Amino acid sequence: MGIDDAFNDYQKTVNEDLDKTKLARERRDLFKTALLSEPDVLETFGSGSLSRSTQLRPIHDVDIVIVYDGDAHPGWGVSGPSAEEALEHIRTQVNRLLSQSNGTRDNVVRHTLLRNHAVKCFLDDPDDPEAFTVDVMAALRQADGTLLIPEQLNTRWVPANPEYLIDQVAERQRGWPHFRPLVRVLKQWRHTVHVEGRIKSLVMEVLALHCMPDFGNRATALKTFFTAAADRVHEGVWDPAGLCGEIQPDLDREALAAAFTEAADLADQACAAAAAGDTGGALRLWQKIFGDDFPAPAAPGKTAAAITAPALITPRPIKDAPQG
Amino acid sequence: MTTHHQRSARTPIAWWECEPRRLHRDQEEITTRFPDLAWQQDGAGTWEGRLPRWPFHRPEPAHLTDWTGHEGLLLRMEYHQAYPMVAPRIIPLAPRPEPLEWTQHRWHVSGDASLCLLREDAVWTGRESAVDLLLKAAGWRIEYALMKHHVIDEMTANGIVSDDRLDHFLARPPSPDESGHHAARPTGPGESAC
Repeated sequence: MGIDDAFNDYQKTVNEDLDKTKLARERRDLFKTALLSEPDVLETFGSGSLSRSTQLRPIHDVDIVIVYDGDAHPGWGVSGPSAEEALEHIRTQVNRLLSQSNGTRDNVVRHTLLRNHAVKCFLDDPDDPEAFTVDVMAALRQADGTLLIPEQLNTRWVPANPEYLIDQVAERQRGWPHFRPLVRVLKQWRHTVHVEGRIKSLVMEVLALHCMPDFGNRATALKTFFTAAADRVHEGVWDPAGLCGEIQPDLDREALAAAFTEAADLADQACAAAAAGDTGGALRLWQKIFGDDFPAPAAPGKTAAAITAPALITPRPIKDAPQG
Repeated sequence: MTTHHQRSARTPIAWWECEPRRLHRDQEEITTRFPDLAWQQDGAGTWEGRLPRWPFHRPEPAHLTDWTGHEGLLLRMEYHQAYPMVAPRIIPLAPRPEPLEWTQHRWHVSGDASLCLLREDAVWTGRESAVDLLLKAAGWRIEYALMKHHVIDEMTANGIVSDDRLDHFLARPPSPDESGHHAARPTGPGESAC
């Protein structure tokens, strides 16, 4: 198996099943259409990874933004109780339109919860850890095209521009067809990294925007990404639209940088092995980065390794290195 | 003037502030393997103290102390602020190579009296353990004794950490003529001039 074929195979283990993706989109569109019929709603659009086609399997939730008519809600957009009022307003509309018991448009929502920025609508049993949910966020469009969104916990409205990231990702994808698939691969890879706490998927996506080249094959692009990201992550990962600040202030930057460095090292060795004609060795190194789902042949016996492995991947222990 | 003041007001960042995990790793590894070394956080940081006379995995040759004395190498290991990308320097304090031995390839001593433990800079990638360098330094001390006794006339290319080619000398006491000018070459396989 060649390197490209191996990446293709591995991609299938990361990508969500097409039918499930289609179902998620249908559910999202049901919410968008239902809420757009309300007289105080100006527009609706999907946000989140599904809207950027960078979603990881399994898809448990989708995000949509409901842009309201500010004239219909003159108290919204200023600090105070209006942030929670806006979320309650969504909840009332969703229940009236889509609740399982008496929705006028459909009967899909079993339960709703108010979260900080959005109303979480459960389409499955809320106790099911894999319950499918739709996060509905209220927004007001500003004169400059950006949004104001409610923040319940701080009783305020904050600026945001989710469409900026959607556009950026789409543009990168137009320039290089591997961009979105590799973002999914990197989101999957982050689950293998040992850090304090967790790594938000958006962190990986924004790092990919900054550090992933837009040319070449996947192997060399990943090598470049890991190398650049190891350095870049020290600066923190910030909202690319410049509105929402640092995406994850509690990110364990040091451990993530170390993981990027290690992956860069392995990727470099993998590219060198492939260049030396050792496809099997290269695949085993990529498997070391991405785990057992990445296809690679079993390691040959010691004799074969001594003949075929390039010097680069069999470093001499330093205590025996030439000196003087 | 303003620029000058701004520059001089900058606080230098020590390597361990950028790489705290590396410092933690070194401290753990070095104190475990060489408990007689003491860390001093001056400048870029140093370890100073005495190595065991035989820190290698194979058994100590019977007459080692007749050649080297009972004490291992007294040294100072100095970090550079570019550590871990640049390997630390190891300076032997006792025995201390004589100035005539500095810059001498066969003695493995650099021009600043530090040990030349890596012939190629590229061998050190920043991920290796400083313990491996200290082990090489312990081996250097033994080869230095054999050089001083004129048993060998140049040190081995790769050191003796895991290479027993010189052990047979240390398994017997030095003979009287080995304190003079006799120079017997090692007979082990693979010996090469460095």
